[in-house]
Amino acid sequence: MTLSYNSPLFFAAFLPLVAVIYQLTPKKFRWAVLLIADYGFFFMWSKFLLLYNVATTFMTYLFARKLSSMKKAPEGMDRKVFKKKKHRILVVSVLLNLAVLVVLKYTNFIGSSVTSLWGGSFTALTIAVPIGISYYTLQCISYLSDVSNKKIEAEQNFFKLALYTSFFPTILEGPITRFNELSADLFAGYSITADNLAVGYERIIWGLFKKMVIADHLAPVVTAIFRDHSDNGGLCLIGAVFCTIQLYMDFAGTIDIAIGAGKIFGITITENFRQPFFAKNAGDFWHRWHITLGTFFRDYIFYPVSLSKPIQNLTKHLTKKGHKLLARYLGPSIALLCVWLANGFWHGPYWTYVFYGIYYFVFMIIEMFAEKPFEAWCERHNLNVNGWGIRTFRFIKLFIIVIFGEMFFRASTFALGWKMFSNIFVSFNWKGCVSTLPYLGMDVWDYVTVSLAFIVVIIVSVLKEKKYPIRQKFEGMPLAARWGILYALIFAVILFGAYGPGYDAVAMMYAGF
Amino acid sequence: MGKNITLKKIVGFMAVFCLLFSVMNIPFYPFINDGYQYLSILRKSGQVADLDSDCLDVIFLGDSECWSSISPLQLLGEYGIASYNCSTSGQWAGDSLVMLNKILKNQKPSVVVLGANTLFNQVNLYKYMLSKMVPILHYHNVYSDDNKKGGDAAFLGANLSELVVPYTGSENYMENSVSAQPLEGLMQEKLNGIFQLCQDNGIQLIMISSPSALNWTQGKHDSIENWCTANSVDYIDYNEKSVLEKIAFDWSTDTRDGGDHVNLSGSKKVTSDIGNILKNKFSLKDHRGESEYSEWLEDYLTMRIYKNRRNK
Repeated sequence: MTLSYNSPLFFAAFLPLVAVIYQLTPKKFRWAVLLIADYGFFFMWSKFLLLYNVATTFMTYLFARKLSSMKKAPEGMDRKVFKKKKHRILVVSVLLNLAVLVVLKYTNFIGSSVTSLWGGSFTALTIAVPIGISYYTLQCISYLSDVSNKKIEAEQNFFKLALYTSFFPTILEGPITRFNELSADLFAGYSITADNLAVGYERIIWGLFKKMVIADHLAPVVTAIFRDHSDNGGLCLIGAVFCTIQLYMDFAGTIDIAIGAGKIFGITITENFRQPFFAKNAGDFWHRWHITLGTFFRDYIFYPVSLSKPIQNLTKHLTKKGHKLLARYLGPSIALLCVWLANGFWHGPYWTYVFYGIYYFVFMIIEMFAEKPFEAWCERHNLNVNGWGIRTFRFIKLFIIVIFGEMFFRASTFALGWKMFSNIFVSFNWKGCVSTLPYLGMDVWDYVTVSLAFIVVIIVSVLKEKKYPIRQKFEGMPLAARWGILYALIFAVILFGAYGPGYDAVAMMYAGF
Repeated sequence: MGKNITLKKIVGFMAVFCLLFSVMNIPFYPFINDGYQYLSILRKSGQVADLDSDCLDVIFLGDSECWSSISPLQLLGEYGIASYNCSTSGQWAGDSLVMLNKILKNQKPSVVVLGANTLFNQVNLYKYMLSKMVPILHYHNVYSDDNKKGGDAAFLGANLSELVVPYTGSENYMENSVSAQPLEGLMQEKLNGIFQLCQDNGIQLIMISSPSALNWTQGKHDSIENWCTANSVDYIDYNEKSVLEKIAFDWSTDTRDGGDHVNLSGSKKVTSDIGNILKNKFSLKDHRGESEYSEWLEDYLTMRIYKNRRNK
């Protein structure tokens, strides 16, 4: 039995049960209730693969304590030698964490890629992968790094660290939390208040609305287009747009459920989305989409690579030689390439994901060089860079970048992605597209429902982007209006949600990464 | 104080929600009679409701095994038997009973052929009970256009496919599992319901098992045979070696998915045999000369000519 966040078994049975037991337990031991719930949740998904999580946590715990104990160089030891030794321990601990991830998730990919180099064949191994390994491994790495950099103290209680690495609302799809952001709330044992309960469940309902009314309705159409209709460019374009909306609504909706579930226990989980489609360019987009993954790569790959000795030396060397522009951009570009390769590989063992990473790298490099000349050009032509016209241009440009990126991301192979992309330009059959679309899993009423729900989400996003205090305004509304909105959302999910006969259960998309 | 007020509000919110939820359930209660897999039941029974009254002599009920193996157009073309394949994907016995009840509203068939595998299709009992108690959760898609679709109407309900994916396993698959697979209580109850309904309407019930190397077992065969013997119901198992040999069934050419379902070639053999049995055992009218059936006969001929052309 698996417990998806959008299953009634999770939000109407598991979550209330954990909340009741948590509340009845003395404050001192409430974190232990959460840990038991974590392991119960994990076990229901992955059975004894839970041991991987326990082992990784234990290894991280031991290394972190060792790193934490190395505060000062012992007498007689050179500071530099001591620092090197500490750094070496950190590197080993990080590599061990990554080794578990690589062996479990990437063995077949590496095997088939390497053997294909000399034309050999590779027999894929059946390797069971525990849930959330891509998420909790990054959390362990950030924890070790922060302990080593003295940003945080190592946790002395193994079980408390285990709670952090297996927290059930975030284990399936993140957000990728930092120990210093989460630990205080995790271990505090706050009492469940009516306020938190209400706010938590409101957020869960909003997440269910996004996932079940929008994303899950689009799922069969997207699947059908990517599987059977790659010849029709019109359908390919629609597939790319739908796939982008589906992915966003699915992921953001699931994150809403995770944040809501945490809120019930008084635990504030970091936000993972901030109206990404209002970004001004691809770089800004990634500051708003899967924020915690972006900040992880920034803090643990971009900065360390940028500030690493070889890059610093290279920059100095180029400056000396008079290549000022190159000196300014080469270091960050190399660091950026590392970030986007890591981003691609993190999503999974497929070349389409690697391409997806490189795709964004290319756009960000272009932006890095083009942004200033573009702003200067706007100024020369008396165009306001923050004006309506330029903002619309930026939105359209970003939307095109994102949908084509998602098209390659979603395609099962690079060849399919390329075929769909090129067919948009060489085989655009609008008539065939219109006649086929109603038979791909959504009827007219489904399109109306999804469109209306999508408009609701857009309105909320616009208000949020304009910093309109939605929450405060909502709380200031008369009781009847507040309840009316909540009932409308709940019944929209019940009546128009894509579940039951006629629908296959749609897995949470980012749980697979 | 503030906390109490908020708690009161939560209780109030839940109470109003329960009330609204109960009210919202009311319009969905009538749909309980449309079966558990109501979308496919409504679609198929809708196809039959669109036909002239009393134009069918034989009704086939069952799941995808029966759906893929019986072609009513062929039965009409070869034997003059007017029939409809009312099988649907994953149909379980409870839905077969619902389907039969719906069909009998405008048809008076002489024979009902029940695909036996429908009696082994599990339905989640908790979900089934829940669908009856809070129908809104199960029947909220009832207005979906899905129930109006159905390409199988052109083949009088049959799901035919020319795809060939051979079965490469042992032909002694029936011997692999000899342990009995008894009918569960709910299935037994629904089967008795179908039997009773047939008796009440003077309909002869027959049971068949379509060829399925991946799905059918000796255990299932034994259970069905026992029930049929006890109730004097004819049973034809197309998985028995002797029967397969009689119809010249070839696992390398007659299955569409590696041995689970038959393809067009396999369905021709099964349909031809069942047609022969129906013709000889029951005095079914030959409708081939009647104008009301000329359109279907044309469809049959078109399908046959089309097939012959393709084969050339």
